[in-house]
Amino acid sequence: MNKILELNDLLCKRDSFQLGPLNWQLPAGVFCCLVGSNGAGKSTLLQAIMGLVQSNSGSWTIAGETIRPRGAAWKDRIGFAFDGQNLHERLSIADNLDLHRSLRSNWDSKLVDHLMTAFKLDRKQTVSRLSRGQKQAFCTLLALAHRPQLLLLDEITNGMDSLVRRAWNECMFQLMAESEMTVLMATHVMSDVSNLADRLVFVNQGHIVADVDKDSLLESWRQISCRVSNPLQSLPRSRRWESHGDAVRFISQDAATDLALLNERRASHIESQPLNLDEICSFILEDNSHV
Amino acid sequence: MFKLFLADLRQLKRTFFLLVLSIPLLQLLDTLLYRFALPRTFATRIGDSIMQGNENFTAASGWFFAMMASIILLLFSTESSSEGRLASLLSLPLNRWQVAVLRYLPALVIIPALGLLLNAVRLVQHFCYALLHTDLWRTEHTVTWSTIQACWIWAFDKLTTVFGAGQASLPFQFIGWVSMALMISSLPLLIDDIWPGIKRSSFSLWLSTSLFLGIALQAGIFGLGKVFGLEMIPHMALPASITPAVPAWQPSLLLVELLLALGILSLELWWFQRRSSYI
Repeated sequence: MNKILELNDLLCKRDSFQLGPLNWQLPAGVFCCLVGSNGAGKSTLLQAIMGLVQSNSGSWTIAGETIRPRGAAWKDRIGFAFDGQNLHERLSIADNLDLHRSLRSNWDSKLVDHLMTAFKLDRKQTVSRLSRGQKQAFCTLLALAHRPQLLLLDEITNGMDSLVRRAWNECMFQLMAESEMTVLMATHVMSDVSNLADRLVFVNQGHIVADVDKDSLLESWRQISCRVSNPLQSLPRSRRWESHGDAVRFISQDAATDLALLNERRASHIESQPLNLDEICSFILEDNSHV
Repeated sequence: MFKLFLADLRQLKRTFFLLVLSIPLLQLLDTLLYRFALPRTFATRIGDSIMQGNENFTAASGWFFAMMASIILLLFSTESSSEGRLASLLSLPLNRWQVAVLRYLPALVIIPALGLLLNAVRLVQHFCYALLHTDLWRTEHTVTWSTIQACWIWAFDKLTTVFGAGQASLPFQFIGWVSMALMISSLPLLIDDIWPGIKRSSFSLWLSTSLFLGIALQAGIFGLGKVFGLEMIPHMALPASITPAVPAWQPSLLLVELLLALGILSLELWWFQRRSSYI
């Protein structure tokens, strides 16, 4: 699979915080969510890729090209939208669009029209009069309008109401289906991760601690309950082990292996229930809280 | 990039109007300032009549205005009041030099533009002042065509000779405004570059440090002028008569200020490239 982004020993020091050194690859065409607690380094990672934070050492490539952050041409391949983005607030949406169109080489007017309709934005409206959620949607639109190869999103769905969020999700889903675009999004909103993500990258204390496929994550993390004839203390890598007599309940992070093991031990009444992403992410981040 | 600059100017529309509206007030403050510095009166022939006036009015230089305008612009500009602007600009296909220059363009255009507007206002003010202070008007409440013409010429002369540098002083004033605008906008940006995040962590500390340094620099320049006896301190170099001085180029405070402003600008542009963070 082609790599759209590759980090090579990327290290960024910012006051007392250190990101990396990171060695990581992002395959093209996936929707990847950066998950981590506050201050874990998700935003710093995105900012480092955009050249907004000076790297102390290492390098990164986008579509095979080693990035020189002081340049400008490479930014045409990237779209970046973040919470707190500075738009020309006193100008209308149309003026802002016009401005961005003049700066981008491959502006897609049809896509802009489509997104304007989807997000229910009015070209005549002044940006300062938009709600926070609408602004975030408009920032996404501006980041998408030149059909970037790599879209970086930093907490962009914050402040969106359920309607705007649904429209936003549908648009992203549609764009991912019809194009080769890759998305790397930092977020705390698990519903977005659940709806859109193909991959999840867990960041903790400036390090990437796990990079996993969402479906296999949902498949492997399960809550298992059963009855065992022989006393069982616990299984390797199980969580929240509870036993009452012969009844046992625990969280498994490798359900297939644990279920096979239980079958070997002739366990009965075996039930395996899926966990939601929020719970799984909490377990993974707890595990790596002392990286 | 030009469109971005125009959009920045449009963003500052309200600031611009505010400054335009404040011109009469700033002019009044300027005049009051000189009232204490120069309580001299003069009498001169103008057209068909004799004019008696006070130099504190004509000595007003516009420097005070330029300083105030720069501070107001700084306070209201998108650069100083909003976060995420640098990151937003750098997310666009612009390199760091372009972004660094974009930060100054609105200030560098608006301040001299307002300066020219101020001069237009002052021209009319001076004309009215001259007309109202002629003996013909004061005694008989009449004016002649030749007096009106003479008043316009007098007003223009006064406007262009405030620094005692003859007719060349209008461009000098222009340079003065640009220097002032540069210095007042460069200093805070330089502080922000050296210490990224200060603006976000403490806007008031950032602003007060910048203003304090700006005022200290201005005082330093004027102190330097005193020590070395340099020309072009407006209230010292004002000619006693209305005879236009001969245009002359000489080492001046304005030159010192311009060089200093350009120095700070260069330092800031250089430092901007080496910031550790742009967000």
